[in-house]
Amino acid sequence: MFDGLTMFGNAVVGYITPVSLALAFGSTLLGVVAGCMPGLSATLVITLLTTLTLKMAPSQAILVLVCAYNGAIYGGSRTAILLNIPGTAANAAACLDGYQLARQGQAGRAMGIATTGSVVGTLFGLVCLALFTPMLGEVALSFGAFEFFWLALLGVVMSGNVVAADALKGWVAGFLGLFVACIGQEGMYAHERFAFGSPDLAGGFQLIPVLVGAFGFSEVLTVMSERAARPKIMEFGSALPRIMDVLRYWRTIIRSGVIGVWVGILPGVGEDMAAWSSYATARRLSKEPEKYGKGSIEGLMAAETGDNASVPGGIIPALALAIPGSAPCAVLLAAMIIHGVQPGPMLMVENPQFVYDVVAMVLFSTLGILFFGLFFIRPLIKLAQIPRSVMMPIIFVLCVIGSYSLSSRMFDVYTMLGFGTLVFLMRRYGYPAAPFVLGLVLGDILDKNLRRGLVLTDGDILPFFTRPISAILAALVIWTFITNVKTLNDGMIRMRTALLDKVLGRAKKAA
Amino acid sequence: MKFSNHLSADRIGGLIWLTFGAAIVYGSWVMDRLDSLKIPPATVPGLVPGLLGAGLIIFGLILALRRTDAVIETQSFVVEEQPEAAADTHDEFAWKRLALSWLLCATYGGLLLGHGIHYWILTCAFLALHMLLLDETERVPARPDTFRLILVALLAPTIATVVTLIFRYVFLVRLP
Repeated sequence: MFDGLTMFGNAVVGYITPVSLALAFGSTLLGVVAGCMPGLSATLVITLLTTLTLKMAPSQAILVLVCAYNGAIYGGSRTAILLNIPGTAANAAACLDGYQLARQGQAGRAMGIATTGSVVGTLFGLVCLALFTPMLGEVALSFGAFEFFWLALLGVVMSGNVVAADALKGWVAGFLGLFVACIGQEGMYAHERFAFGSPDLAGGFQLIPVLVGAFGFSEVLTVMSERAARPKIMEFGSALPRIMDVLRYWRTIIRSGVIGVWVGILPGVGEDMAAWSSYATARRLSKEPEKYGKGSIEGLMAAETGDNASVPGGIIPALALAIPGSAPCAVLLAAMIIHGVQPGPMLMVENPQFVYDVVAMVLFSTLGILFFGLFFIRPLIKLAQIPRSVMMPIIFVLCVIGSYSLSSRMFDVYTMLGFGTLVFLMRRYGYPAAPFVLGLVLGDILDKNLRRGLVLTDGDILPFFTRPISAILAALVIWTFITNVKTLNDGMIRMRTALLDKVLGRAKKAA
Repeated sequence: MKFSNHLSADRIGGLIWLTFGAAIVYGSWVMDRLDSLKIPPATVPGLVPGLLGAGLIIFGLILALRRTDAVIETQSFVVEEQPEAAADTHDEFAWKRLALSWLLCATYGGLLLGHGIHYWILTCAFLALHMLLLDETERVPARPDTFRLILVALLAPTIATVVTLIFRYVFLVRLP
C-alpha cells in the first residue's frame, strides 16, 4: 500500500518538469480538439500519435498517448451538447440530454456537468487503476498458458459480441484479426506462415500500419462518404459547474464510475458501452426518469462519468494481463510494446513503477480536461467547425507518412491502404473494426499459449477445461457463443423445454 | 427492400467467409509440419490458423444459412432507415464521393509515392486536388469558388511544407 503511494508520488514528481507538463497538457488539448471533431475517433488520434511519437523517450511517448486518449473521450461531449453530433462514439449518450439542455438555453451548464462528470469519472477510475492493477497482476501470476489462451479468445469473442449489432459479424471480424496476426514467422519455430515467398510478408504485418489503415484510412473514407452537416452552434453561458448539481447526484456519479470501470475492464468492450450502460442504469434507478431525453442533468452526468471512468478501467487489464479493455487501449498496448514496455503479469514484478507512472499520466490529463473544459470552450468549438473536406486529406497524408516512417518501406503504406479499404468495406456491411483490432493484438498471445499449453500436456487438451480458472473462462467463451447464435440458442431452449416436459410429465404421472 | 438487400449481402458475405476459411484450412493442412525438427505434433505451425479457418467456415455457414427472423432480431435498425427514395439519392452521392476520394488516396499512396516524384510536390498536389474536388457541397466533383481556390492555394503548400519539414528534420525520416 505504502509502496504504491511512494511510487505514485515519485511518478508525479518525476513528471513535474516543463517538458513533461507541456507534453501532458498539449496532448490533452490535442485529444480534446480531436474528440470535438466528428469523424476523428479516439482510436484514430492515438494511432496517428503513436507514429508521431516513435522517436520520443518511452515515458514521454506514453504520456502523450494516455493524455490524448483521455482528452479525446472527453472532447466529444462538446459537439454532442452544442451540435447534437457526438465527437466520438463514446459521447452518443451525452447527445440525448446534453443537446436538450442546450436547446433550453443551458448549454453552459450542460458543459459544466459534462466536464465535472468526466473529471470525477476519470479520478474514480484512476483510484481503481492504482488499486486493482497490482491485485489483478498478482492473480495473473498464477495464470498459465491455458488461462492466457482462453483470456485472449474471450477478449475477441466478448468484443465481437458487445460491439457489433450482429454478434456473428463481430466474431468474423475478430477471427480475421487473429488470422492476420498469424501471417509471417511464428513465435515458436520461426516458420513462415502464409508468406507466399514474399520477404515483406515473411516478417508479418506490422501492427501500426494495419491500425492506421483500420482506424485512419477507413475513417477518412467513412467521413468522405457521408453527407456533411454543419449545424448552427447555440449560444452558451458560463460552463463553471454548480456544486449543488454534483452533490445532488453523488449516488449516480459513484454508480456510473463503478459501471464505467467495470465495463472498461471487460476485454474489448469500450467507452461507448460504458456510457450507455451508466445512462441506462441511472435512468432505471432515477427518481425523475421522465426527465431523461428531455434535458436531464442526472442522465448527462451518468453518461459522461461512465465513459471517462472506463478509460482507466480499460487500462487495468491492458497493464495487468496484456488484454486491452477497448480498441484505443489495444493501440495503447501496441505502443507500449513498441516502446519496450511489456505489459502483462510480469509487469508488477519487473517494472511496478510503470503502473504508477500511468496513474500519474491519467491524473495530469484529468487536470488538463478540467482546465480546458472550463476555460477553453469557444476556441474549441471554432476548431470543431473546420470542414471535414479540409481535414480528411490532411489526416490521410499523416496516415501515409506515419505508416512509412516506422521502417521506411512502402510495403507498410500498401498495408495501410489495403487494410483501410478492407475495414471500411467490412464496417459498411456491419462488421465492426474493434474486434478485428483486438484479434490482431491478441493473435500472438492466443497462438503461443495454445501451443505452449499443448507442449506442456503432450497434446492433451483436457487441462484447458479442467484447471479451475481455465474452466471458468472456457465456460464463458462457450456460453457467449451458444447464447448469441440464434440457431444454437433455439436448440438449447428446445432441449431445455423437452427436458422440463419430461421431468414435469413424470412428476405429474407419479402424483 | 432494404432489409432483403442486407440479407442477401449477409448471404454473399457468409459465402465469402466460408471460402476464405476453407482456403485457410487447406493452407494450414498442407503447411510444413516440421517433422525434421521432431516437434510435438500438437504444436505444428498450421494448428492455430487452421482452427481459425475452421471457425470462419462455421461463422460463414451460419451467416449464409440462417433464417430471416434470426437476422430481424439483431438488425432491426436496418429496417428503420429513411424513406427509400431519399436513401437512394444519398447513396449515389455517397458512392461517388467515396470512389473519388479512394481513387485520389490510392493514386497518391499506392501508385505515385516512392516512384521518383518529390514528396513535397506530390503531397501538395494531392492535398490541393482532394480539397478542390471534394468540398462540402453535394456536387461530385465539386466546382470550387474563388474563396475555396485561395484557401486551397494557401493551405496545401503550407501543410505539405510542415509535414515534410517535421518528418525530415525532427523525426529524421528519409522521405519516400
